[in-house]
Amino acid sequence: MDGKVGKLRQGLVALAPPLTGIVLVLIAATPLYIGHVGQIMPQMGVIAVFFWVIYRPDLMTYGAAFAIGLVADLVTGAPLGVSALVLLVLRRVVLAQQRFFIGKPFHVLWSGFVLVALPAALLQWLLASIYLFAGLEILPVLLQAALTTILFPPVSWVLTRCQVLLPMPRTPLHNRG
Amino acid sequence: MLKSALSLGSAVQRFAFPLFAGLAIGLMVLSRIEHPAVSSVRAQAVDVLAPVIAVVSRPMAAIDSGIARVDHFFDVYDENVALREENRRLLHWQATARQLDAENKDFRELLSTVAEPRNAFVTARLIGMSSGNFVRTALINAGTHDGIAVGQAAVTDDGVMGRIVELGTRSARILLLTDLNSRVPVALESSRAPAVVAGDNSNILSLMFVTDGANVQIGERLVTSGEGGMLPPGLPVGVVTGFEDGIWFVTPFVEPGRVEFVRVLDYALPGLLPTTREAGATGQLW
Repeated sequence: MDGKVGKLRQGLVALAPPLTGIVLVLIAATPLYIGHVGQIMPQMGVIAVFFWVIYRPDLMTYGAAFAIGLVADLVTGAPLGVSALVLLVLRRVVLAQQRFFIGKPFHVLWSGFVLVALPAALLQWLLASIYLFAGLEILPVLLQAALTTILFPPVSWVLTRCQVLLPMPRTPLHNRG
Repeated sequence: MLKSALSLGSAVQRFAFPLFAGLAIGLMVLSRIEHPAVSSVRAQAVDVLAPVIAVVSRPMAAIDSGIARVDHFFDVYDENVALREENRRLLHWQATARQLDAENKDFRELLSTVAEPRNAFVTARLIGMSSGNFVRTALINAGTHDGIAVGQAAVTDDGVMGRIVELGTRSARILLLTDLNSRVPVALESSRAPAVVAGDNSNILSLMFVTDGANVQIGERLVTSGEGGMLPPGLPVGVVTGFEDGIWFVTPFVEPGRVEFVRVLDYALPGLLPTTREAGATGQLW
């Protein structure tokens, strides 16, 4: 009995990062019109993957990143696989730098995020341009990266609240992933 | 034992990136070649996600309307003055419209005009908006179960918003006028000259295939022409707001970000026209 509860608990813990990512993606897809931001959508998936890869790379696996990207593509009606591929690449890149960010103050983390948010938006733009075989406008992509960067502090604050609830992994983080 | 399990896990992780990346690229290729499985999976997945999105969107809508209320508070006085003025003008128009309506009825009777089919419609809530840079679509919480079909027009009080392109049982996707793949046959309101408005994923539409000699001017209103049988004729689409490099630009009347409910019109001309699915290209999202 206890074993079952333990397994259920483990399962829930393992699902927390992808689930928070998916909820963020769904929130970003709701119709919202604030001031003159107009129709720019923040890339919530990028925030979620970046955050969780740094703090819990064992739980933000490639499969989780893929699932978040797939939901984003399904909900937005974008070509299937585009966001998924962007988030997979993001996980790989951030994982390589993960140890650098551990224990660093928040502004270092935020600066690091700026360095990945823009390339992530550009990669998505490039993939979509190839897919649609059309030169899409680049200004909205830059605005999107800017909006995502602005939203990083509040969203990561919420994610931090979730993260402290999770039990620590048994093996050191840097051996994982 | 534990060690071998760990090394197995790390082996899976090592191959996970190429595996999932290959999967993502495969999905892109499948949706590019418009594989039927992709669109049916997408519609079903959205069906499952729709209730979740609807729940998540409620608090967001509350925040949104709260902000709008504060926004409105500041220009209440100016708005009041403008509305009084508009009301005066509209009353005048109402009298004119009544007179024209009666006159029109008389003429129709004189000419024995065939009555146009009446539009049945379904009202649905907008639950999702993809205002990405690559695609402009919206999700609504009604589908085949409510009698919605691919190709039907989604309209608001302001005019045409878009067209249904993807269907689930309880959800449907609207291709907005501003999407790169959107083409809508229109007519200039003053001269009835035909043209096509095309989206390019920006907030402005462009006017294509304007007939030679059509006298387009800034401020000209565009309505659907009803050509192709996709949309009922006479629905307001947008107004011409600019001209650059030989292209007229059109601002759509409907601002999708401000829409909460849409009406989906069932404009069926049975037997007269092929269904949108047979007609092909225009009903496809990708």
